[in-house]
Amino acid sequence: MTTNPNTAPTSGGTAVGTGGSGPTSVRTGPRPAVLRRGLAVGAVVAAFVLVFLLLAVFTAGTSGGEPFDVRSARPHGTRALAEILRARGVSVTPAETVPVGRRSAGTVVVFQPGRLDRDTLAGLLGQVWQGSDVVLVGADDAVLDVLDVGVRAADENPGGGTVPRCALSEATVAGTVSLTGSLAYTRAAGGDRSGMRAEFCYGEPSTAARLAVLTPGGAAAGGATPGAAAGGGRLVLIGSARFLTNGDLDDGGGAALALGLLARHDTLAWVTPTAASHDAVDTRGPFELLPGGVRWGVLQLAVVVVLLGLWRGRRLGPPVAEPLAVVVRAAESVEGHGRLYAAARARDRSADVLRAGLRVRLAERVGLPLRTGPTGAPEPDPVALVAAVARQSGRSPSDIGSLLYGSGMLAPIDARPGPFGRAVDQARSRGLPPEPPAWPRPSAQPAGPGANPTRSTGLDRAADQPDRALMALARALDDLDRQVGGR
Amino acid sequence: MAISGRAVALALCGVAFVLVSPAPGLTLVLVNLLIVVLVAADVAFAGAVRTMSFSRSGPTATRLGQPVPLVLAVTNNGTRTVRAQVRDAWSPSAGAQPRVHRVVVPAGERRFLETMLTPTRRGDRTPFRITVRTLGPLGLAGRQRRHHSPWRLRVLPPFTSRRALPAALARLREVEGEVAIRGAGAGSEFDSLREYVIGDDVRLIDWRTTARRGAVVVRAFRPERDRRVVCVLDTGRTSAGRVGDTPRLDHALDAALLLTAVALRAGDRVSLIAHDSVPRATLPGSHDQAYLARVSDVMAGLEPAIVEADHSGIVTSVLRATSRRSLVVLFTELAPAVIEEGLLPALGTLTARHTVIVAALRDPRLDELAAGRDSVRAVHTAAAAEQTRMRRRELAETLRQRGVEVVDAPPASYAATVTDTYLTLKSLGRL
Repeated sequence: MTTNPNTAPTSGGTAVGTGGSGPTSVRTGPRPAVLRRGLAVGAVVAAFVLVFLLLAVFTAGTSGGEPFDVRSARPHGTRALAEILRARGVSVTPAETVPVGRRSAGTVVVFQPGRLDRDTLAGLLGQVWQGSDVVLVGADDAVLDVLDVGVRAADENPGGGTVPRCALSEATVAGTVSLTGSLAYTRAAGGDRSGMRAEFCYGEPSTAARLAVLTPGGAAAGGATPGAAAGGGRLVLIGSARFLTNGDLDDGGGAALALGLLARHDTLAWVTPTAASHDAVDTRGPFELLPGGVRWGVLQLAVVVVLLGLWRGRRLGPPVAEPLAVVVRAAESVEGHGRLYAAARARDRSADVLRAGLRVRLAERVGLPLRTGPTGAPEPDPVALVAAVARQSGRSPSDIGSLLYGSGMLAPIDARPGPFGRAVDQARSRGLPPEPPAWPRPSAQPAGPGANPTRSTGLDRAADQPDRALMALARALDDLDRQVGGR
Repeated sequence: MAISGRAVALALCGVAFVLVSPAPGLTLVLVNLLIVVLVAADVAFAGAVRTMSFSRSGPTATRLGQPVPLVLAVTNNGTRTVRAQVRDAWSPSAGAQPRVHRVVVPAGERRFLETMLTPTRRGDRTPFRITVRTLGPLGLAGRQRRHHSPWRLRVLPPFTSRRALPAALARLREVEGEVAIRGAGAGSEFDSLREYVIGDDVRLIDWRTTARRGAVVVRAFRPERDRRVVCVLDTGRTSAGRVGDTPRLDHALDAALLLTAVALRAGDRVSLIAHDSVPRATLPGSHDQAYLARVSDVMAGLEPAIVEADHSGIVTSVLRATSRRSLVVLFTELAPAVIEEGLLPALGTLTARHTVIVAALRDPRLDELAAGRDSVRAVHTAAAAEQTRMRRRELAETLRQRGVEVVDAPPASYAATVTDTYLTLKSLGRL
């Protein structure tokens, strides 16, 4: 049916070959520059979108469940520990806030305690005194200062000490546990003011311990070990909780230590504060949260900036000076004069000059000779000029005379439309010669307040009126100019 | 020594390295040491700039507005290939393009760079300096040095009124009687005898020849030839005023060029004087056709000076320049200070011996301002403009009363009007 091979529906790789070789209207040669550039920009944008989508897909795939989530079975989750605890009869309750108002003693694990506010931390300490176990994971100096239990974060890294090296019964039972992380604890310099006895385990217990267990009243109890106070509450500080996760629970004695620390009561509240409260104790700024490499990176950026300055600052020869000729606009002085007149409000002078200029123009137009007038400037004969202009414009000689040879400006009048323009318009519309206008109009016009609604009594308006009169005069002169045949 | 954008890019890559490195401080030091070493190596291996040499070739004169290609020859006398950025710097009004050339010159070879100059101002243009930067093999850094290669490009006045030349020459032929029109040529100089045709003025019949020949013969006249025209350019402060987009002086130069072209064709001798407080340029009269080029050349260097023109000095210069009766065309401005205080007292000696044309340029902006009615200030300005126009008219009238021809024309028709006035005077035999 179709005879043209180019329009025939083809399939597969041959379609390109047959379509390209046929005599179709395919344009050959390079594409126009605009199209090329557009294509390039489009390709770059498309590539960006593609990369972003791919990244989004892959990162979304790996981000299932929060770390230390008791419901998460991923390596960084803690579901295994939770199941073991439940099997032992401990009810594990995940929460985002610290439970308050509990009667019976239980265990509370708080991750990132820096996100809690002062009162909540004090409440937790109170629970310890009431017999509860409180485990703070990753409590730093900000938290410890609030708790004020005679423990501070150690300055030095304890290294990979995995042996308990302390008398805590849970630790000795658990044995080797790989506790990691950068946080470690040591005894505060101020001594023990809170009446709690502290036991440090793992790492270097004398200078930097991974695990600190504080027992209320321990100081009073003398040499009794913390483990002996089985019924009382404890405050446990752990630098890192890696050994609790699904992935690391079976590593060494991690599970034993976890059970020893967390399974002393029937209830376990698993608190992971999701967002810091507005008065959280740990209020580190964004710069303190940056990893250490960033500061060096910023330093390198400074180097980049210096190099950038060197690169752009070293120019390829200096700018070349142009020996400029003095060039001013020829009409500059005229405009300056105009501004001077306006600044000095020399309205009378402006009005006189406008009149004189029109007189000369009209005289040339009606063919009158110019003589040297009294001021030295060439002037036409006034009588002849008024007569000739009145004849040509069809207006009354007195009107023309007052317009061309009047002195001063128009009396205060409305700006729009000028009295002469209005009179002329009326005369034109009626086909009559215009009436002589009220010129010079008496300046003290006893007009009622309602007679002229546009006039206000403001001071600026009072200063404005002579200006408007000047403009009205200029328009009236223009009208006359047109009537006698100009432009 | 100069670094390139690549060195900066390298340092920027270093930022990424520092960020991901486990030992950021050490990485930072290493990265920057590497950059320093690479830059130093690049500078060491860059082609030598000192041993390069430059020479120019191309035209030495152009009319304003016409682009000129100038060739800069770059010779590499060193032992290494030179990858160079060459900036051939001219003053901005020379309009040199491109700003920077990129060129690769192997050792011992020569390459040619073309700089296109599009001058935007009259006068002499000279190159400022040649700055050369050679980059090393990595393109990170290189050496930079300056060179000089002198040249001078003379930018002549544009002579935009050249398009009025054919019309002016046509009128000249008409005046000279070379066109077959009734009335033949006008003028006062006896040309030839010819047979009477109906319509000739009977007063032109040469009765003596008629008696000898037996046919009625009339005398034919033609305009005077070999007259003298002196173009006087006032380069004082009023000539600096810009009318439209060009100073008054440039309009005057244009008009003087057209007048010179027509007068040379008419067989007159033209001389040129430029004068403000002191004589700026004097070109004695000539009627050879190449004179126009010389006039252009002299005009190229004229600039307005911010001094009051000394009109008595101008008159002295004119009187010294020509002893025979001449047409003196004075290109100046109808400003009260110029005319009343300068020209009028000195005019008497000039008009006594010569025919004088005062050619002034009328600023169209003045008419625009005089029509302003938009605001009170515009009306005041209109009054000021009106005042100026009246003063000009008055001055023109005063000059006319002293027997001076006054040309007061807007820029569009300035040159043509001046030349027309010349032709009219010529046809009237007043030269």
